Amino acid sequence: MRTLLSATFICILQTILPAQNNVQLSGKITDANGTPIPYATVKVENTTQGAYTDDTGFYSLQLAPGKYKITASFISYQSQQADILLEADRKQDFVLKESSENLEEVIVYGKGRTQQIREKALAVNVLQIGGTLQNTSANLNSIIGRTTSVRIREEGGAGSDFNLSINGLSGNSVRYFMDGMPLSSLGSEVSLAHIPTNIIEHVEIYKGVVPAHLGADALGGAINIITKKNQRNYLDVSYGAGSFDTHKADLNAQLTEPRTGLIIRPTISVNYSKNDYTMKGVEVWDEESRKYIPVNRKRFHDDYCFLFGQIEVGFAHKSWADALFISGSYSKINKELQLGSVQNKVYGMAEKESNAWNLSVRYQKRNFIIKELLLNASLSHTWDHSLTIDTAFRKYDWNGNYITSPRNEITGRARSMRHYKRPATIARANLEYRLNASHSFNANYLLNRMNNERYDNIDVDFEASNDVMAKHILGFSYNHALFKGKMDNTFFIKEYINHLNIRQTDLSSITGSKEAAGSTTQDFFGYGVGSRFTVVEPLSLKASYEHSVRLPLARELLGNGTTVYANVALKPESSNNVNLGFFGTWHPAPGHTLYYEANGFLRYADNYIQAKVSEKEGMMQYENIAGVHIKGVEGEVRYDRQNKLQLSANISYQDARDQNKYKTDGKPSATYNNRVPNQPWLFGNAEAGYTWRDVALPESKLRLGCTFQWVHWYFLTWEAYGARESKARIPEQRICNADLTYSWNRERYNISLECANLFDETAYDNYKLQKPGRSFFVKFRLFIH
Amino acid sequence: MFMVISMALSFNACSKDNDHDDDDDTTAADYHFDVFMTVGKHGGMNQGDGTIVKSVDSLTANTPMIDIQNDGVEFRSGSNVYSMEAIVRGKYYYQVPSSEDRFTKLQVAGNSVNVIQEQPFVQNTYKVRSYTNAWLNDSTLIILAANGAADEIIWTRLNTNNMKILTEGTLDLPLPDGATVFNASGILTYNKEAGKLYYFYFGKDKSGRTGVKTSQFLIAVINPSTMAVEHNTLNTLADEMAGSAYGELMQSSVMYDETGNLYLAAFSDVDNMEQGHLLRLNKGQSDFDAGYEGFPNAEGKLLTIQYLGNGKALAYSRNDAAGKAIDSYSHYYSIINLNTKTRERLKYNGQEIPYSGGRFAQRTVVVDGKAYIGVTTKDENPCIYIYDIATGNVEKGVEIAEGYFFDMLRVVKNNE
Repeated sequence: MRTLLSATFICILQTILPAQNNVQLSGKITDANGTPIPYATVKVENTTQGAYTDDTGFYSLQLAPGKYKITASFISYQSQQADILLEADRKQDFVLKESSENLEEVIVYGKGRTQQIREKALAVNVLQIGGTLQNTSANLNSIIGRTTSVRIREEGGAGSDFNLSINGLSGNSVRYFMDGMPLSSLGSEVSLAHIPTNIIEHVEIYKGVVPAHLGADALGGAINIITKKNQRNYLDVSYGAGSFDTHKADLNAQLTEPRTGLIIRPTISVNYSKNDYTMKGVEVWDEESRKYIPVNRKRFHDDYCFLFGQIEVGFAHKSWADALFISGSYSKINKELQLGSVQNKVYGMAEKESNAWNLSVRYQKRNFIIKELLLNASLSHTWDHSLTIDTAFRKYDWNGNYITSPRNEITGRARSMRHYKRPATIARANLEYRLNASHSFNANYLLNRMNNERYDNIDVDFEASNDVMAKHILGFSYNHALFKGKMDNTFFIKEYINHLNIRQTDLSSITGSKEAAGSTTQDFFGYGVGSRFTVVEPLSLKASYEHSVRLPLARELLGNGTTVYANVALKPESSNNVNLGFFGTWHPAPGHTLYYEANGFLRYADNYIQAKVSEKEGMMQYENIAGVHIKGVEGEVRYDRQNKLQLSANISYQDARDQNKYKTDGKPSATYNNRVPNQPWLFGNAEAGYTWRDVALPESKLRLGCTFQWVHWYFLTWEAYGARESKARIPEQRICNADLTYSWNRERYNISLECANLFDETAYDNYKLQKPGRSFFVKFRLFIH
Repeated sequence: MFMVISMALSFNACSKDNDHDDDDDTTAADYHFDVFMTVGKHGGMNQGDGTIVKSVDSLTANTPMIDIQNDGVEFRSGSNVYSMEAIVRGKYYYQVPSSEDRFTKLQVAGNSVNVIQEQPFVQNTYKVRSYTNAWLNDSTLIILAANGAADEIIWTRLNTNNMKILTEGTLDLPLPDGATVFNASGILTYNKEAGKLYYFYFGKDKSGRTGVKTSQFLIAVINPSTMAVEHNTLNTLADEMAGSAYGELMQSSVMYDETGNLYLAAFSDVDNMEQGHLLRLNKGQSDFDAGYEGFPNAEGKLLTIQYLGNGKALAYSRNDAAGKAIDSYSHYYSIINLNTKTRERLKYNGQEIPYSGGRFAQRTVVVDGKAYIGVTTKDENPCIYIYDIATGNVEKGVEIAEGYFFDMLRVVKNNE
């Protein structure tokens, strides 16, 4: 830690001094109405230097004195150029006019803000969610699942539970954010799959090393969804329908009251699916032969309904605030539950529902108190309530028939209506200070306070509990650029403060609660560094490291009041994460762009929190174990020809090895250094798309796209033990999807036809829990702006 | 004497009821051993997800070390996972699998698990590893457990030849005074000599972690033909039966002597110690013999018992002073003289065999005049000791590779 701070300080000294020779070019880019244009590109012609405007349209560049040609550009606007003689600090503003020609939006291959983030020091995938993706029914899960290093394992169709891993670390190791605020503020059951894609500008996927400004106790990475912050009024509305009685409607708009400048942004999203897809080879009883025989049967109790509504009201670009918005949202999820942990465990009545209300306010101010100090502050409170209903004394089979059973469906116990109330208060403050174009500092504070109240209004024996947990996460980072932007470095430290209110004192010899009873506070530190160096234009190197920490969850620390004992002595998980790679963009000929990227990574995760069986029958307790070491490589290649032909492919290999040298009895463990089971270790994706322009109608385009996902088969259990021919395995997956999208009137009208799982492969990510077969979807989208 | 030999040759390690096969000409060629091992975690409490079964013909010292590296079979078939807590009799295992929708009769043959016959639930439903059982004869099996609300005891009678359900019902058994729920399964056993089923159970004031036993356990004597409860008696000698949550699906806690006296492993909470008791219920009685204690001055919990014949029994118990955790090296085997109520810790070459780890374990079987006793000591590879019932000699048998949890040993008849 001390070494890191010393290195940081030396770097600051070394880099501040030469920076004094440069002069600053800065200014603002606006449209004809004077509205700032964020993320516009400012390029210094005939050099590798450039910048992007921030949310307020502001840019700045550090350049040696001299003559320059500066180009300002942004999609849907005509580029502007200016010849500048730069002898001292000076300002140069640009006013861009709208263009009907330069409308081509760049999808995943886009430059601009996404490229800017990619060129930062940390290992990050950036997905620009452009119109092509928004025109299809693809949800955010499936889009993210096609990127390098990410693997999403789903248990079924729409609305099913899933597990996302980044470089082999998954579950609680990965944290999710929306505009820097934890995604859970929208409701504890709201996941990536629920977020309407038409409100998203881009998605940042941080691999192993998470920037301090996110305030995350993430062990393996983080996903930050950045929503659109359009400057102009617009209406984006879509409706789609498809197989399995699936319907999806989204509305997203912005209205600005011209007199006061009041901005209103409503968002509504509704998604329903019957999910009655065919399960292949499930067992039903044949009384004649007295055998279970494999048959194909449709799922019959898997309806899923999601409703999300949000309205955001506020002002932007005022003297007293660059942005001040108040928003309220409501989300509702109703899910029927079809399956238990195995394919033969069929439910026919059990359901889950959740409701969440959220109220939040966010404030942004440039030049806050002092010049060049940017404040972003948010405060949010969520009322979250979920309910699992398991009241039917029935046992169903795949024919949809049932017998009356003397126990409920899920737990096999008494009737239950289990409530979880998780009110959460989240506060975030972020200060960014730009000393000059080469040096900036960022300080971040995140408070996440959550209650976990559980009760059951049928099962009288269920012991209600209400745990309280508060996390304070502080982060400080320093960024600097060297060699005229050829090198970008970031150094950061994080402090994690875990505050607990232990209200239980029973069983103190097991839980340690006697020593930790009442209010306790624990303090942990993390730190990291990242660096990017551009050797030549088409080749940049990246390296990053983080000692990351994941704080225990309430359930892990405090138990669940029934089957899980508390363990208040539980330590946080920690991991040393290293990334090393290169990337670049090469233009072999005009109109041809080749992007490539390759990374190697290490994840040395220790003190894993894992459930162990307690001495008392039927009880569990979480404990720290040695963990897992993961080594891997990944690569991606993308090719673009004149925004018409787009090809891409990526592949990820990760080798996760168990690090438990000893079993719980203290003797050597056979699993030590064995590949961790039930984890995909080799997988890849390929995409191809071709766009024809002015087909049938002027200012129209027709795009044909195809995606292919491949996962190598893997063992369900430890691969070295048991005869290989008898071992359960998750088979190889080869899923091909295709879509055809037609847009006309400058993308005002869009219609898409899609086919998922084109070849009707039997696919499952988790053992025998089948995903949908071939399905079709049609979607119409109207985008007025 | 004939009876003693018959007991020793029978598969009474597996079928704990005293309706033992009168298969007195059993030879080594007639049976094999299934060694249950798990990787990473104990198998018993984790429902067998990592359980691998390795079948071997012999457990003698000249058998190659038993290892499951690229060998043995996962205890699953198709999309069903099987629990190592299973009923075993003759050639087959019987159980409720993870789907919790059927009864399954299966066989481990070499490196494969073969489903022989299944039967979907018709009326009563059961949870994996949460039931108790009794054999009325070679082909009649009774399964019994608490229902979901745990306020009634349900039962199902199966013909295990074809796995058809013969009859089902609910015991006419009231909750004990002050109790709102029964414990999960209790212990059911059939005393062939007495012609009665005995069901040991207790009640709790509520379900879940904080549920407290409302009394010492009770004894219900049941007519096996009608399933009518003929007697229901509160025992006063011990608090709880061993293995009350999952019957005898893994650990043997009931045994019979030649005259049909029933012995039960039990315990009482004394000074923060689970002190073991070996109770005797004399043939034809409906309560324990108040003057009998077969495991006096216990140092901890009595976990398993198996009758060896001629008034001797094999016991697996714990010395609480050496540790009470699941993996504490505090568990040991001893030979009990049921008549003198004395016991002697198992020795090899004159030395006491060190403590083993593993509370949820059943690593012993009795067959062909020998007791095969699996140990997992701290400083050596797991291995088998072979106790000759007639002579009392102990020889060391096969070793088992280190690195796994050796949780269970079963003896299974070979196919003809």
